[in-house]
Amino acid sequence: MRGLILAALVLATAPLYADYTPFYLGLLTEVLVFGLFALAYDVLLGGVGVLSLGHSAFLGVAAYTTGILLARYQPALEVAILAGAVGGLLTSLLLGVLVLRKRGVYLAMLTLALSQVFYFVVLMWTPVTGGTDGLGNLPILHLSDPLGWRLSKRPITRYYVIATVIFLAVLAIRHMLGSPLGRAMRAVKANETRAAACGFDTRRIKLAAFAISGFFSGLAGALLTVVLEFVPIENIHWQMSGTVLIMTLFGGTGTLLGPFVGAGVFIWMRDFLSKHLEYWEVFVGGAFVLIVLFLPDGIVGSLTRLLARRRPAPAAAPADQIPEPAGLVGAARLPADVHLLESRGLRKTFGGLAAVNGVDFQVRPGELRSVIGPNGAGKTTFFNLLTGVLPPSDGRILFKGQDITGLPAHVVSRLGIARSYQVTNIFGDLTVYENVRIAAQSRVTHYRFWGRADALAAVNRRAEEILLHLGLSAQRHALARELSHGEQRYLEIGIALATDPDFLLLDEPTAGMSPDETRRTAAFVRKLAGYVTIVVVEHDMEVVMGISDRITVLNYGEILAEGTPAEIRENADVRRVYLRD
Amino acid sequence: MLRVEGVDAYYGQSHVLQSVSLTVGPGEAVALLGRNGAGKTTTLKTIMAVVRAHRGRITWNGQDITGLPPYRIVQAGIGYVPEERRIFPNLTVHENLKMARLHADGGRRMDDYLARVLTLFPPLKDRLSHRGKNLSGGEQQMLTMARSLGTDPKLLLVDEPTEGLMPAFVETIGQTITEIQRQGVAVLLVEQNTQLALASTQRVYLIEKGTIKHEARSADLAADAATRHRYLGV
Amino acid sequence: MNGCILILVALGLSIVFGLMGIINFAHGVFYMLGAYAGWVTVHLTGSFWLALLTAPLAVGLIGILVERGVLQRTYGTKNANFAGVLVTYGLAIMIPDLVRMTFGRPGKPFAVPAALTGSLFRLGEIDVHAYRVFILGVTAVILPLLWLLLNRTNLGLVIRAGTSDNLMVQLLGINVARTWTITYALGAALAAFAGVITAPLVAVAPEMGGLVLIECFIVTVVGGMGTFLGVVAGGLLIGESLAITGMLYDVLADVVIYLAMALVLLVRPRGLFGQEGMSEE
Repeated sequence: MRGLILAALVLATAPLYADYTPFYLGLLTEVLVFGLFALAYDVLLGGVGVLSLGHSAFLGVAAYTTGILLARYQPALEVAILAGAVGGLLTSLLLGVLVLRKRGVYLAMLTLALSQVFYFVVLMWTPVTGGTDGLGNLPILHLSDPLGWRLSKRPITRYYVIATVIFLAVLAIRHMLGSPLGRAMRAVKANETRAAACGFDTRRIKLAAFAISGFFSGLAGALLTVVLEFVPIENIHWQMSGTVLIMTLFGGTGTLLGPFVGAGVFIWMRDFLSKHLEYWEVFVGGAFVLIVLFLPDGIVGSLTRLLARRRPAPAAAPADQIPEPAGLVGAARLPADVHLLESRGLRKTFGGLAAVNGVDFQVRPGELRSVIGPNGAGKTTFFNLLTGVLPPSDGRILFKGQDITGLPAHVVSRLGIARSYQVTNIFGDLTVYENVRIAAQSRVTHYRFWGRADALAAVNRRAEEILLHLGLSAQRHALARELSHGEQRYLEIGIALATDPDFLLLDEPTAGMSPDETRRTAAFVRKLAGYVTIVVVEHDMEVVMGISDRITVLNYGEILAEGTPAEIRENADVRRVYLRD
Repeated sequence: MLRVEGVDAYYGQSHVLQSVSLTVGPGEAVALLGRNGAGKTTTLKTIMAVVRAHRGRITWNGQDITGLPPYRIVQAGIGYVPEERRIFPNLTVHENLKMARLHADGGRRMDDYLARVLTLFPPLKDRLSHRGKNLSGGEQQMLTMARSLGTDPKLLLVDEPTEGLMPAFVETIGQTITEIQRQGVAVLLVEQNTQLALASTQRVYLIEKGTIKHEARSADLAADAATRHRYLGV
Repeated sequence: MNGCILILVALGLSIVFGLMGIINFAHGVFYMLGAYAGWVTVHLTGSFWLALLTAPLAVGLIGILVERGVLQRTYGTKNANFAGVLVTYGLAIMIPDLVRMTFGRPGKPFAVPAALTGSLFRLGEIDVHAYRVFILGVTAVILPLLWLLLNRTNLGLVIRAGTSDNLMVQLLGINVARTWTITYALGAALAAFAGVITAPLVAVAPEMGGLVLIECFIVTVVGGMGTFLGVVAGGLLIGESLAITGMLYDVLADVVIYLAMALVLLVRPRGLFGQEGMSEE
């Protein structure tokens, strides 16, 4: 908040102490516009971790939309600007739908290739766009009544109008980053698989980020047309995507200020360096390589890190307390005589090897079932099938009587199936509190981009409860990756519980725990069973025998035996294969 | 011989080794046992420099190998059979085996090596021209072990060789380890199947929460149900 | 752009991506540098045939410097693949300006070698130029050689193995870092070779790398990243549709290939010959 007030003051007074010439004022305006472009770019890169090299299309389409509208139809300036921003939005949606079928660097390559289409359209459609000459002949620009201010040839008015628009845009982006959608974006960036397991449609969240990024890139493009009163074809050339990437990384990704600083540095290099050095791109490219290699947080990011005080180490949790699930979960919500979950003839093969081979499996509501079996018996694959992480090769899965075979992980999660992972799978870069809060939020809203995520009272209450019951309240502000191994294992379960499941799959909850921690966890799982149906994969036979209602033994992907702990203990097949001792 | 002294390692967010020390003498077969997540695999990976040792020292025949890249450790004579098998799926069995001979002689003289591993693993004989991904689980495990012998190791680190295998194969694997040792190769074995591990080794370390808790002769531990129960839960 | 040339350039891009997981944005620059190296050779010695040799060698050497000096610093860091893309992108901005600095802004004329000028024979209405046949012939020689290199040599064995599991290659006592350097240099040399043989058809200019890079992207998306056959098929398909639409209706040529790419992405995201999972991450 203080930063924003300061920024507003600086913006308001900048013309006073900047050299009061139209040239400098124009430059300052341009820095602001490119800063907005870079910030919009960072909504994607810093927001969901998607590297785009196609933003020239968003900026360019918007710049041309605004320019063509003004030149041909002369609508109100505000309308032309808004139309430009919407043009950027639509372009980003189109591009996003196509490229989000891929990930990582391959996606980056696709954005670049697809953005070229728009360049070619502009190039070929010369009568309308002006082709390589650019688009000129814009009318005198002025705001519509009642303000009616003229912007053309009035740098100071133009500066204040554009600075105001950009300040509002930054406020909007800031607000959006703190909204439920903004938090979901951060979760996707921090750990995409886990976000999907919490019920988030990660591809759509990324598409939403594309849309937001496209809208504000479009706004920047429209404003750029207003600043230049001309649309150069460079605005839509692929090098523009490189320019915005360089600006963003110069300043530092993940901050509001960074993109503006980056834009300033870049434009300074362009205008002042190029005055003395004809081949200034050598230095821009070189500086960029050096920044990527040696200063990955950028200028602002590195300074912030230098100035930031070290976070105090999280206090250790009281180790002797058994987590208390009371009030965590609703009582079992189904009559006990139906199957909550059922698999029929479930099979999964990997390159000819059957990891799960014809499993018929039923769980009743309120049951605590253990699945045991030697390493490689197919237990984790079985979990991955039940939770939609892997599609089965054959067979069906029914949940509450509904066929859920082949549904993707986020849909399965929304139906009420949650899981924990054998290898700790948490949002390492988010706080402990946010880990649980984002999972709870998935039950309330995914895409709402207004309102503060922290103001969702029910979500906060649930997150608080879960931390309290897991004994993690004291570490709420610590980053999840800073927790001890045992605490991370609890958090793992906490994330699953926060999605309010009817059915909970725990994959080796005590893996790597000390005997003490193992005992606590076993007691906790037993208590949970009063509230939610649980299937647990576990290696520790003491735990398994102690907590289970029934036990299923898997061997080579098939069910070897099923029964109460006493029956399993006596089963000759099981003793031979599993309890070899 | 291999000497691991006070090694600490961090693996991802969890799996920590705390001051692990162990030795494997020339030609000796040693088992490293413990519960899931106790740090067995991490210990092997740390020796192979797949996971970085943050503290401590690893020496091989008196030479400090801490911090060497993995390929140098293999060249020095330590072979590795990884838990996930990691055969090259798009290469044929013959090509998979040849990969292991590239450092020794560029794969020019495969005959002796092929004769040796096909004696150990006869089923691979008919599979030489098949791609790795078309092998069964047992065949993949055999290929992984056969391949590791191609680097002419004096010590072989073997990680969970029986994982997911049919009982018939499990016994074969046990016999193979004994045979490999008979050929003069020392073995450090990580294995869930306690019985098999104790039967095919002379000495055993028990690891818990990343710390070596117990060391014994394999025969002694086989007779000591209380200790086994305490550290292994069986 | 000629289909043969597209195949040669795209193969280098694809091999590097397969092994190292990096989309090499400097690839177009290597192509451009190849053309310039060829120009320098012809300028100094007058021999086009010598240029076919010196350009790949010189640019291959530059590839080694780039991989050793710059790329190697990104390996093993957080987001290493992103960093690889970013630094090569930086080089793609930097190097064309370095070339402008050295050779000036305007392009360099590059004559078709005397032995290959003129029309070879007529095919109906169309003159078949000797130089086009030469390009076809050269590609027909290089592709099998490259295939043999990848499938019949130890280097190819290591590249194919490393494409699926780099760490395991190291765990068999093989110094993968060296293979990476060689592979990167090989990709650069291939691009440079394509650059030289294209030079007589186009003006040699600092900007020539940008467009070919994007067309290579399209080829690999359509054919399937990391597959030899896919790149060849994609290159022919894209190259020929460019040529054919170019003849019929010039304006559409560029748009058609983008539509083809969008269609493949929608219908078969892994590409015509691509394997599942290859291009996911």
